[in-house]
Amino acid sequence: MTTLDASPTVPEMLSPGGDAERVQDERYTESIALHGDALGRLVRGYESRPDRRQDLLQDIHIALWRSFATFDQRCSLRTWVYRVAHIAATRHIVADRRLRLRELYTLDDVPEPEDPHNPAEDVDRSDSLQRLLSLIDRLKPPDRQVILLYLEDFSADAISEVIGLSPQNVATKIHRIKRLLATLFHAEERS
Amino acid sequence: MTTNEENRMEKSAWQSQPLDAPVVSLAFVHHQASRLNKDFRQQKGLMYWALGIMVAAGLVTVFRDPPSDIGPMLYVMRVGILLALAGAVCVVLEMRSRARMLQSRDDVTVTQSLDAYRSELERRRDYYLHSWRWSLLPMLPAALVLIVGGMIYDPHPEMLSHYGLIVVFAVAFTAAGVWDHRRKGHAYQGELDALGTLEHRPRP
Repeated sequence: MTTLDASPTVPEMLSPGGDAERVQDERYTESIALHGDALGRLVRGYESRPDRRQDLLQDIHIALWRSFATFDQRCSLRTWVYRVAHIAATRHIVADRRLRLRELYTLDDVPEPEDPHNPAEDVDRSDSLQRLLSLIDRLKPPDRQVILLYLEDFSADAISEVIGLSPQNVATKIHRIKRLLATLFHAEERS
Repeated sequence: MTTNEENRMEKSAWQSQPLDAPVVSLAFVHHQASRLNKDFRQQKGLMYWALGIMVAAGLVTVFRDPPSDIGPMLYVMRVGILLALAGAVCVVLEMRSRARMLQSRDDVTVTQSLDAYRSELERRRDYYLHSWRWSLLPMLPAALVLIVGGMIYDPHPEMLSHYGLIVVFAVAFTAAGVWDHRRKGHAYQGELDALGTLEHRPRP
């Protein structure tokens, strides 16, 4: 796995530090230890191009580190991390000139994935994952956030806290998500 | 298989997917954050240098020894260039204040992601619907003085057709730009309207 590290020839560019920055560093390190892998998955759900994915991941890390200067602990660290990450990722896709919002769907109007079962074709889990990523790639930001958080095992209430939708609204979206996922993952078992 | 087991399978497939994401170190984040600030400062510096050079060049043009055979057109040019410089300063100051708003927002506001999405859409909508006001209007007086003044006072009558062409192109170009921006602005408004129909979580 690649490690992105600062060149040792530029230590003078680092800020002088201090208590506030030390706390900021500690919170950042803790949050990456706990949620670093999840951020990698989140980035896959927002950006399909590998080179741009790395840029987005860097942007999220920087946004996260900067955000800890103002972390007031009124929500949990996990909620904070996901809020910052989804905000940065959403700005990334809204700013993408390639992307037109009207070409994205909500969970209610996204075309139902075709049944992947084909007797002549062996559909395995990685295919399902690719199809899931392609489904996520067609969703509008709020719905994309709901499905990504659902896949990370967030409850409806926790998703609601990160996004700001009512828990009932999130629950309705999750119901739709379950149906879509069932089509993607379990069609071969049904037949 | 029960629904709960199915859900677990889907989630575990998602969570165990192989990742190609690089590990980002704290030193790298420090480095990139300081580089971003440095890049921003450099861009600002470059903008001020460009403005300074433009003002200096404009002033030299206005006050250097004029050609003797252009009569009142000299005053038209001087007033027009001074107005263009003033307009450019207004545009640069407006861009600066907008960049500052954008820069500071990341640092202080971490809100629920739907609010952030809404404010990003509003920012883009306002940019597309109103940017012509602060980017084109300040340059309008200069354009009017130079074109209308040129039509009236230019000592070379054969230039009249050139001024006419400039007006036609300027109007067509501006109208197309404004129409395109308004179309994009309305698309963002449509997205905001759709967001407005969602039921929000009461703020704590």
